[in-house]
Amino acid sequence: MARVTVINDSSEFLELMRDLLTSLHHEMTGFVAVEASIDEVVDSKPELLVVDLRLQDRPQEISGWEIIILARSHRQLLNVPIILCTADVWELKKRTSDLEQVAGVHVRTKPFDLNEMCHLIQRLLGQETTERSERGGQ
Amino acid sequence: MSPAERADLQLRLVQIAYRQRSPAMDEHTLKRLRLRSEAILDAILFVPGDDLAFESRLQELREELRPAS
Repeated sequence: MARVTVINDSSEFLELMRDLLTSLHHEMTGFVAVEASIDEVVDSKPELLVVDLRLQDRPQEISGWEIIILARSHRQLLNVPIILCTADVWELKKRTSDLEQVAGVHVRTKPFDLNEMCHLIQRLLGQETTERSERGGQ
Repeated sequence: MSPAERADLQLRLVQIAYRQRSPAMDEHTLKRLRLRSEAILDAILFVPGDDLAFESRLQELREELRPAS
């Protein structure tokens, strides 16, 4: 079991990811918004972050892109792999060259393939063998 | 997770992407997700903004993807 933190302004998407991660025997913490200190993200002690690129912009809250930058400069999140999920292909294109400068960020556009997402999650958490053996055991 | 549950999750994700008006909801992507029926694919691709039509087609899709019990 691993701890996965998902940040997405769609509660529907958070529910979907909770179902998916629970089926993989992981523990999920979900946030619909995050404040600039990202303390709550750090406190969730994630082994994997799943972040939406575009979050609702209220003054005290930050975008998914800012979360990625802050995570990469935070001692406790520096090496945590990140999956960036977005439906905003245009914003993603604008960020392509920036994203290439940030290590450990894996981009998936919605709607992604859930099987492929499961494999990616397990690989990033170093649990791919477990997933394969479970699937083989079904 | 059973194949039926996985198919349901996949469809929920398609719904979310549709509501978010994802440009990635293109024919290539939907085919890659094994949303096989050409008629349903066409319907999804040609009813942007028509939520009722989309939900109706999605229900058909759910039936199609659900493995026979």
